[in-house]
Amino acid sequence: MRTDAVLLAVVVVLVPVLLGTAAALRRGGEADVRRIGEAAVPVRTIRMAGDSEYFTDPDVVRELELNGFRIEQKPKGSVGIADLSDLDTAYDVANAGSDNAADHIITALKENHGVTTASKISPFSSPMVIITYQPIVALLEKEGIARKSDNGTWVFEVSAYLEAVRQKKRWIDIQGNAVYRSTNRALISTTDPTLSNSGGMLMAIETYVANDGSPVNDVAAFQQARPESAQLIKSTFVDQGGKLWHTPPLLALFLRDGMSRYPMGMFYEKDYINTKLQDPAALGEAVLMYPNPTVISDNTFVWWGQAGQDFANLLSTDQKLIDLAEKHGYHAITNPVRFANDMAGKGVTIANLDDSQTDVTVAPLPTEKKLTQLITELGK
Amino acid sequence: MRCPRFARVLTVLAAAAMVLAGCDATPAQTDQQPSGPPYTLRVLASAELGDLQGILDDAANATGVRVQLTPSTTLTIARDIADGKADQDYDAAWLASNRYLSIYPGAQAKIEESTLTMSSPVVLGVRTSVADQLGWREDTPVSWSDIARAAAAHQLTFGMSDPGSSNSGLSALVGVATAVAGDGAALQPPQVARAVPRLREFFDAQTLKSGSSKELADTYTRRPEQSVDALVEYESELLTLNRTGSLREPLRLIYPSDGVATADYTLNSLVSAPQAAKDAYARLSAYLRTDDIQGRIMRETHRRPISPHLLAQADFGVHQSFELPFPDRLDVVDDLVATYYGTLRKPARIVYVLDTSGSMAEDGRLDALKRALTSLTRAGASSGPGASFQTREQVTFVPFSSTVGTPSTFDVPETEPQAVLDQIYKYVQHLPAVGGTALYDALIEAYRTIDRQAAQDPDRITTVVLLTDGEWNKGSTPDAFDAFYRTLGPDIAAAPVFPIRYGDNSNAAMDHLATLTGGQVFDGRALPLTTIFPLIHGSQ
Repeated sequence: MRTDAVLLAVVVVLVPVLLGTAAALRRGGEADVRRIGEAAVPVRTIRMAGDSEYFTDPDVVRELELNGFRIEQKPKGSVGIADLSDLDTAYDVANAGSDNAADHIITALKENHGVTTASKISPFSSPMVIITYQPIVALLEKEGIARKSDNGTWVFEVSAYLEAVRQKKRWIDIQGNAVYRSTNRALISTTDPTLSNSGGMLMAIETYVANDGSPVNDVAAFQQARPESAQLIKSTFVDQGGKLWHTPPLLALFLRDGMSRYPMGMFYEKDYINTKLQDPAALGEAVLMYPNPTVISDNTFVWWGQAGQDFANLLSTDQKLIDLAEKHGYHAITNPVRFANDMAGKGVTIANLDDSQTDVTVAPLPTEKKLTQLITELGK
Repeated sequence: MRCPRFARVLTVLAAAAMVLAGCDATPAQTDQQPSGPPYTLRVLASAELGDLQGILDDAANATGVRVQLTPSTTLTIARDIADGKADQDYDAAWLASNRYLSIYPGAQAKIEESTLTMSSPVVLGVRTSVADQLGWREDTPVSWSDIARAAAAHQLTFGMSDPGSSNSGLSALVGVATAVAGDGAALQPPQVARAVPRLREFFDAQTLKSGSSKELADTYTRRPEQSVDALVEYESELLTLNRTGSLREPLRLIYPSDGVATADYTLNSLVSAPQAAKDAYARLSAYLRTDDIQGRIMRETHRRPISPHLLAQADFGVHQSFELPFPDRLDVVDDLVATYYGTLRKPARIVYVLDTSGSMAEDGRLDALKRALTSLTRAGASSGPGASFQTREQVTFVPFSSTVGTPSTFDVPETEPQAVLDQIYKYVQHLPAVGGTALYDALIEAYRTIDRQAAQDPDRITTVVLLTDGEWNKGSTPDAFDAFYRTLGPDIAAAPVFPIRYGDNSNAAMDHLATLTGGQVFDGRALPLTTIFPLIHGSQ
């Protein structure tokens, strides 16, 4: 399923957009020569709505400058980008957490700004994960929510989690729990799904489970047929109370305050890998878990002008930039297979979701319109 | 790893990324502050952020961004942003918590960018001797329910800021309500009503109120310490109080075991701000997130830095505190606040000691006094805290000239208060202006009145407001008043005098009265009485 998804994405996204891509990929080895020759290219500033730590990496900054680009980032959640009133004029590119969020932005460009020429590309992707702590994993295991897979990574069973939520289970209700005596409900902490992609991805996962293993494509019918499931999913967001608007602040506070504040949080796999590679001390005893099912979030770039297009093309074809993306934990779309092995080589154990033997299902996402509708109905 | 020199294009994320990249506070980093053209950034800020002034002065030198802080309270700022009132006059808003921007419809859409700057949980600071009596050590798990129980059993009195305007006050209200009626999830509307009986017991033990957390800490240091056993406050304010050395008894920090609400001070730029302001905002927020400044914030204000590495170097105690699920629904917050004002809040008893001597006829002083008091009977409840007499309040007037007039007391009922407000209006219109200034006789009569009233109805927070325009020249001497005051029981003496500088009265005498009784002087020459009365009133 995963391989199909990648192939599909490559066909849909790359082919109409890039003509020179294949050639550029083949001549990846020539990059250095080209760089020396072109060191004096005029530098264009790309104003990017949305942000990622990738673009602050000095190696990325240098590689982009050598190719004539400088990036100004505006930190903003994926959904918040679509609401920017000056999106069409003040920016060249939007950096969205998922292909769905990118579609939402393209729709906003068309409907709010009359921009009909927007295109998108997804050069990197990252599966959604749950980051937690060892004592919490032990409690989840008691509840049948956590189990260890054959390759040593932890799997978080979403249906068992939803059952615990249905029982309104608090941490202190877990039998034999002497380590985490919190009267709070056992809930995954997310960003506000109405503003941020990562929170919305949990909505996609939970509705897929509640809809018997298929993405919800008729929201009203789903709510009618399964009112209890709909309410249950809503409670996984509402019962958390106030939520942050963007993933990076959630990660920052998660890493700083440890499990006392956020026992388990919804993140991108790249958040874990990036921290593990760049600043392992900050990660401390944090444990990576894969929700089963999970979804893949495609880091998607939207553009509507020449500069944005040239920039997006470079991102998806420049081998150095692709290698650097892996350093920050992104799966490069051109390199789906060896990613888990590369990570193992760096001492980071991740699930190989491309492996047909994997016991984590990768669920397809509902369409952008349906997911937005689900979030509006059940996310707040 | 090499730590590069970042250009200003990287701005906000640069600091965070450098921390993540392992670039801790190296000397090289201090010369990497993004600087740019001078700009004065107009920032609406939670009042307690005034303690960052030194850091902000240095920020102006390093980045060219001068910060002009306008102090307010967190909930008020969120409402102002939602209503569009902040659009014209401010470029940015620095709130104790952004959670209210999610609650008030339309507020979130006014925000361009947000940066976490530092954190402080709302906790309970208990006088050491009282904590010992209750058996609350640093490592004892004490829940909001335990705190409410101790308050109901008269083992604990406390002070707290107004939950209708202040994040710290509302955090405590949410904490207790969630503990007694919640099910571990964020509070839902029906649960508020269920929490009322226990909440009422809790608030019966409140002996100190204030408009903001900053004012609460300031007021506490002026009051006789025995009159308040504990403060609901930011960890940072309590640590600061303990380190000033001005307390006779340190406060022991209790982190409620079922959950604290952490303030994650967030600096936001407003969509409506000009581009130059947004650039300045980016420079300032990057500066505030450098390790240097984060370290200074931690050392100078006792707030927690965002970087886990810096926090690991600090000593914030051994407790494990969970985070309270904070309701993000407007109906829940409105319901809680309305319940607090309507039935939970300990009602105020305010005694106005009013000079009606002949000199008050000069310069229209008596007319100004009448106008200010009249406006308290006419403003209507929706005009903001303090703008009018509140339901359940007890208001007493003690007029004096050469002798002390008969005290007149008005009880504003819980429902349909207008008839009583009309009586107050009529009373105020008939105040005369004739004779001398028997100031201390009037104050003695005020405390005797309070003594009589408290014997029948003890559960009120009492304040004396003194307005006089001249020097004492009749009746008891200042020394006689001091001697009298010292004979009062602690409950009665706990009522502070708020003297107002007015006309020709003696600064020294007014300062002395405020210091003696734990009150605060207001300057009626600099501010109109129509502003001062709501200020005093709103803090009750």
